[in-house]
Amino acid sequence: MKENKKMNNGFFLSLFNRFGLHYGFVNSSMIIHFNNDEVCKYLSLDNNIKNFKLEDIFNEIIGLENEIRIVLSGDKDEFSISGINRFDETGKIFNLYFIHHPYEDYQAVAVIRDMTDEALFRQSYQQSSNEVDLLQHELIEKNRDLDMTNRELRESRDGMKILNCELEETVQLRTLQFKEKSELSKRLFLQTVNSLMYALEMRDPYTAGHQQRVSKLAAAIAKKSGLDDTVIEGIMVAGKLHDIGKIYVPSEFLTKPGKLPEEALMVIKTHPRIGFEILKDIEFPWPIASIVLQHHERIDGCGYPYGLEGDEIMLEAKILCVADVVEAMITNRPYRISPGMEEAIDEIQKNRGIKYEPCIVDACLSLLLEDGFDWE
Amino acid sequence: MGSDFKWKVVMIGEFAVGKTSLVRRFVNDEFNDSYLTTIGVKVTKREVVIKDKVSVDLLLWDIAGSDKFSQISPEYIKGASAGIIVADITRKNTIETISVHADLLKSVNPHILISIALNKTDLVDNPQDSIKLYENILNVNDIKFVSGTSAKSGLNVENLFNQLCNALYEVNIK
Repeated sequence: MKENKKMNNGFFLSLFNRFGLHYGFVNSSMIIHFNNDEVCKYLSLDNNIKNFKLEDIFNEIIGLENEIRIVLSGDKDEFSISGINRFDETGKIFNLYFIHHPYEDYQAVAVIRDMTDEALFRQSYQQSSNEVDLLQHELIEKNRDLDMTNRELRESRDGMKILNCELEETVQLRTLQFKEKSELSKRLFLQTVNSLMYALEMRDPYTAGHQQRVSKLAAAIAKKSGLDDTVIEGIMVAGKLHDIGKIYVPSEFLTKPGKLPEEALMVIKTHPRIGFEILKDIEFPWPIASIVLQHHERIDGCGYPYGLEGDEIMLEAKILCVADVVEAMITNRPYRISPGMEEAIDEIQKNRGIKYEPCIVDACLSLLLEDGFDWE
Repeated sequence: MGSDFKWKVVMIGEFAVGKTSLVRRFVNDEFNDSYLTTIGVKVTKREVVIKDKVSVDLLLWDIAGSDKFSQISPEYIKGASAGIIVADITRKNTIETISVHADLLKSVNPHILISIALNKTDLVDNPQDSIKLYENILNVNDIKFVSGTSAKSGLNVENLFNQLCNALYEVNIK
């Protein structure tokens, strides 16, 4: 039996050596016996020790003792753990087989099959494949992020469009409302100016329409002189209000037939200054109060209330002055019959460059004599 | 003096989820960013003390991740007291296969204690939100714990294994 055992172990030895395998024998006490140096060298073990506790050499069998015991008893032929990785320690990857010893009870042959080359070869493929998979995953994630960003961008662009449309609509609405309000306030302003003008005319029916007509002629002279529309508008408003100061003049002075006494004339001559006082605190977009104050000044300094000369008088006031003189001379007054258009023309022609600004006189004459100015 | 318990814990999951990194962080307290796929199975031992007095040898089976070339061998799972299914919190497909891995663990060892590690939490802003997002996937197969871990920062790694040891201890003293 002993010889038989030796023969059998020798059989294993020659068989495994031929295939480059290592082996040892495991007994029922879970002791593994190595009877050649090659396996000790392979597993980095001390050559002088031949018997080891199985779990000290192979941690991998802990928890699997029962599996090995079944193989030892012969109830199962084989049990294996494949791909034991000892790469950090011995640089080996091997499969460990426990095969029931065919000739010994409660003994197993532990076969170690070195798989290092095969495993490393396979690993290089696996590594590349896994890295490609990871890159693909990363790419998919990045594409998803990109898609999401694009979608958010699109949504925000659409949102912006809607917002812009709403903004445009709001701006249009507000502009319309503003325009309406602006037109309303302009209408209210002109109605207020006209109301003031009519208030004066109610006290002095003889001069009814005087301010309206002066305003029209003065505006026409300004236009003829090539002045800006805004300035013309100011002259038109100043024309309508230029005699507003007469509201303080007793109505009997204004309506008294015949020549007025010097005192009454003195009172009447205060009307430009009173007009200024009435209008000075109103925030017109034009210097209406100053135009009204200066409309009886003459360029030679013979006018009132301050006897201003030449460029001291505002252009608007000079225009209003000529229009006022012409209109006053072509209408009847309680104290005199109208001298007529010819006299009026003669007056401004005669005093051209003396009392009245020459260019304004020229514009006025052109309107009256050539353009057929329509007073109404 | 020998340990009071020896427990085999298998680490399984898809490739590149960080199984090896978790073991390295737990055993050696180190981390390496470069990826080298594991081949076969690498068993590492670490002794832990639980309940201040109980000495345990944890044998961590770091098993090569499953991929299109290879599936996890059931032989590796035999005799395991616990299994940690590792998934990458940033890769949904690695979380979706958790139940497949849990089924494998249960089929080989019906009494195995299963824990889940959602690794790489350092790559997401709110790990708890992500864990909540996958709640329906995670609540299967008697999963004992779900932990968000980061092998890179070490966050929750020690806790993951300690929780597992305590649970195994409770099972073993019954």
